[in-house]
Amino acid sequence: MLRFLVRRLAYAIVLLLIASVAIFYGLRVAPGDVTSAIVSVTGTQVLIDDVKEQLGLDKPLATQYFIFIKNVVTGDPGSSLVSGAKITDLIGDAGIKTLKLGVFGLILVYALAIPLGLMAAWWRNKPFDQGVRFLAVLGMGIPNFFLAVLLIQLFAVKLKWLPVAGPGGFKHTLLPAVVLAMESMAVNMRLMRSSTLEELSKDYIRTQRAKGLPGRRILFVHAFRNALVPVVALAGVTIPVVLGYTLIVEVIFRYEGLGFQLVQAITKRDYALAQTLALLFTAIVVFSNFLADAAHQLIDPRIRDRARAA
Amino acid sequence: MSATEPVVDVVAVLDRAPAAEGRLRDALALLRANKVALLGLFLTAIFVLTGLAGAVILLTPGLHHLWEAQDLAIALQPPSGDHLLGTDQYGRDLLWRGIGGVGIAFLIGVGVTFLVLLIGLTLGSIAGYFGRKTDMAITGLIDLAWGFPLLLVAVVIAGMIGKGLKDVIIAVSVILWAGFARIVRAQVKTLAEREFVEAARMLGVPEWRILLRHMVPNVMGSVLVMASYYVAYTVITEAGFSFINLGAQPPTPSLGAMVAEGRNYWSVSVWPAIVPGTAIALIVLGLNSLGDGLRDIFDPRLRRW
Amino acid sequence: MGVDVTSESRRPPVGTGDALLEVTGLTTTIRRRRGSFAAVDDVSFTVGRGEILGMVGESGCGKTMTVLSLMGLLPAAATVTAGRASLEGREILGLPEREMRTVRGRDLAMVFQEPMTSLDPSFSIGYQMSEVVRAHGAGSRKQARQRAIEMLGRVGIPRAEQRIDDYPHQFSGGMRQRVMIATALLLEPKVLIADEPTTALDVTIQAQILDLLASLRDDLGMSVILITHNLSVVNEIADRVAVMYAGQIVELATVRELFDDPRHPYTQGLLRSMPDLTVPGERLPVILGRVPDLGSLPPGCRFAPRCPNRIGPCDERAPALERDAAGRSLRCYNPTPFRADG
Repeated sequence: MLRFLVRRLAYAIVLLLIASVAIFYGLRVAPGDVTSAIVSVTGTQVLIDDVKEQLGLDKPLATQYFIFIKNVVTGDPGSSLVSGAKITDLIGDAGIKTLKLGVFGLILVYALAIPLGLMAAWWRNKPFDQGVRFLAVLGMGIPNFFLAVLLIQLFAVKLKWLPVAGPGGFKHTLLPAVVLAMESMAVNMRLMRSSTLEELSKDYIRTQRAKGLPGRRILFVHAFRNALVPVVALAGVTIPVVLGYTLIVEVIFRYEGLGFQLVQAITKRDYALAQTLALLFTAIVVFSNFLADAAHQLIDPRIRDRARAA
Repeated sequence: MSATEPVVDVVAVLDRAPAAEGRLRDALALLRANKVALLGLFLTAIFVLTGLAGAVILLTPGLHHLWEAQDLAIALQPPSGDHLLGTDQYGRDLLWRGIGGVGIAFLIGVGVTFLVLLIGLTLGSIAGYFGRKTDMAITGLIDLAWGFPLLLVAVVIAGMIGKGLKDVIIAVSVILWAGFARIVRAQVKTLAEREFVEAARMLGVPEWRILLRHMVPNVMGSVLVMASYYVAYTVITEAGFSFINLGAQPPTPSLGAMVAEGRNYWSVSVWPAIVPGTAIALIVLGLNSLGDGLRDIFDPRLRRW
Repeated sequence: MGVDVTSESRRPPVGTGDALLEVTGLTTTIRRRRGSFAAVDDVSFTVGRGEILGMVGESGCGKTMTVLSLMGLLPAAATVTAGRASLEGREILGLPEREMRTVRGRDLAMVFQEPMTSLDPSFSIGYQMSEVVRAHGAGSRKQARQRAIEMLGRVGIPRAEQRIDDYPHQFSGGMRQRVMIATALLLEPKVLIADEPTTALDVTIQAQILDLLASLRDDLGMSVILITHNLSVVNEIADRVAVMYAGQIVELATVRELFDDPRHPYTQGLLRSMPDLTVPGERLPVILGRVPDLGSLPPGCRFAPRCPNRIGPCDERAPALERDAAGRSLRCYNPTPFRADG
């Protein structure tokens, strides 16, 4: 297990390094000189020199890359070219918001998907199951930005229960979290349903019944535990997808988290901020993939042993 | 007599041979029995027809007036005899703009999926066929691409080359090829170990011809299933990307951008947002249902993602 | 229904020989899109205390459906439509699920064919065994564990107190089947139903498992219904045998009687296709034709289309299962003496 984790971690770090090169060089070859992009934004020559020095634009690209990495690793990626705010402050502020939103969204995904999928399988083809399947089709069909528009019009504009947009507490996070969660919730619910159905048809379920176990114990203990394995395995995709959707959802709700900041930075060509944020996002993705893999190892005793043997 | 002696298996002696039945006929029967798949097929057929019409009016400058003609006098009108789905804030006809938007979705969705399919097929077969280091390198790439959020890649690419539809095309290509490559690689790997490939090698028949001959029918089903999901995924990504103003730029009638503009006029008329939004939902719903149906028929083990 | 005495058994049953389980006229119907058919048709048999009853037949002949009917574990499309089954005088067919649950695992236990898939892969075998004791309120967590360890030792699993915390995948197929048997025996059921318990195992392991079943029967005095398609397994350990064909019992006799003097042409065909009755180098004789589709049965005897002894009435009226004075039952109009060469 430990060896697996170490190997997987090393792999994650290599991925991150490749991604950092891609992000760095990618943003450097962007059309238009970086300085001119900054001039058009700020307009002052003093700042340009400042920025040039800060970015080390006079130095060769490779050196610039190493400076960028050094700065990121030592925790001082510099300041935003547009607002001049320290990037670390920005990340701290926006990071907490995105963390709140993302965790809330993921809780919604799993708190709904797992029980609904499980019970839909248990009551297969009954009205409950049909409802769940309809919800799944809807959740996977309606694009999340359109869902956001509809929900805002209903709950914020018409019913005035919730604010239209903006940062803040629970009320501001509720709608974005629902929109963020919807598609992944539908996907995981479907997966949980089909994997529960698959488990319920297996031989060991018949054994449990022959043992005289009550149905609820067979469903909630045995089928549940085994049906969860593919859902946990999919977490490596679910988490990045949810994270990726923060880019759209935060923009729609003007929720000033990391996604909002990244889209802003790209739109305004704030490269210092954009490259740091993009790298941060990548790191979160790679890390959550790593966590999902580890969780998958833990939940399935067969894989657990294979990993121990490796 | 002890059980260590050869034991006759009555079942093996007496069991009847399974009757051979046509695979295609089975598939058609399954499709007919699957109402969701039929609905998906129906919606997808409409998507394709509308998409082709949209592509024509987008690519024919003489027809641009259909979706470009402005008339502020009739701005934000509800559906009427002249404008079946109403008009937007510039008085442009929402039906024609919608058809144009479906045309974009169709061109991008189908075009990019086709591109991705080619890349996946090529890299997947190379990995499965050559094995060893080539395989390791390509598998590494597959893993790398597989875990990444498409939108994040699209946003970063927008930072690299500027806003526009190109971002979506590149981002989708960079990520989704991995899905096809995985399937094809696994299939080629299994096939390459089979005896008839060995035999063909000894007879001097080019191996790649054998592989191609046997691989195509085996991979076809999975590829069709994934292709329908991937077209849906591409359509939704393009729309989302255009919605946050990083994709198609005005006046290109992208469905996502139309929803984004339309929502600002919701209090006056809901049609400018509802028409394109519903169109996307129906396209995605149709393609997903079709994919589910095809999956039930071709490959029950293949799940989404 | 009278008393079945298994006089010629090599290992005389421990019990008194009176009927512990008595099944009469059991009929189980499967609904299909086009009509329904009886997968189990008018099946009657008894199992004596401490007796091993073998049930033999080809796949799809209704053996498994018969015992699943008794266990109340039929698939959704199947239902018991007629018949009675009394276990020590208590009717067990048609019990409400809640009551049936207390019968399963406690009075009637079952071991399935596939030891590789019949255990839940995600839980330790200790958990899966203790669970039975706990679910039937038969002991505390600690007692349940103790009982499980004891039973594992009894079925021949070495180092039971360590292995109890292992997961199913850490056991070989034969060992898993031992675990399955130990689990089934935890509450000392009156009848153990073993559905092809050795089919999925290596030949040497098969013999071990059969020996284990026989010795457990001797020690615990339980009755066993052993389902198999393999006549040599029956010959090995059963006291009596019921031969099933197309949902019906066609012959029921003690093992000795059946092997020395098989009367039903189907039974004779089965015996002929056993290797030890064939001259080395010769082809194994087979029963020509195929099992009829239960949805479209012949009007008369179900075996008639494949039967070498067919006579006039066979195609017209279905023969009934008739018992002779010695207690043998037979469903045939024209039994003839057995000749090994056919």
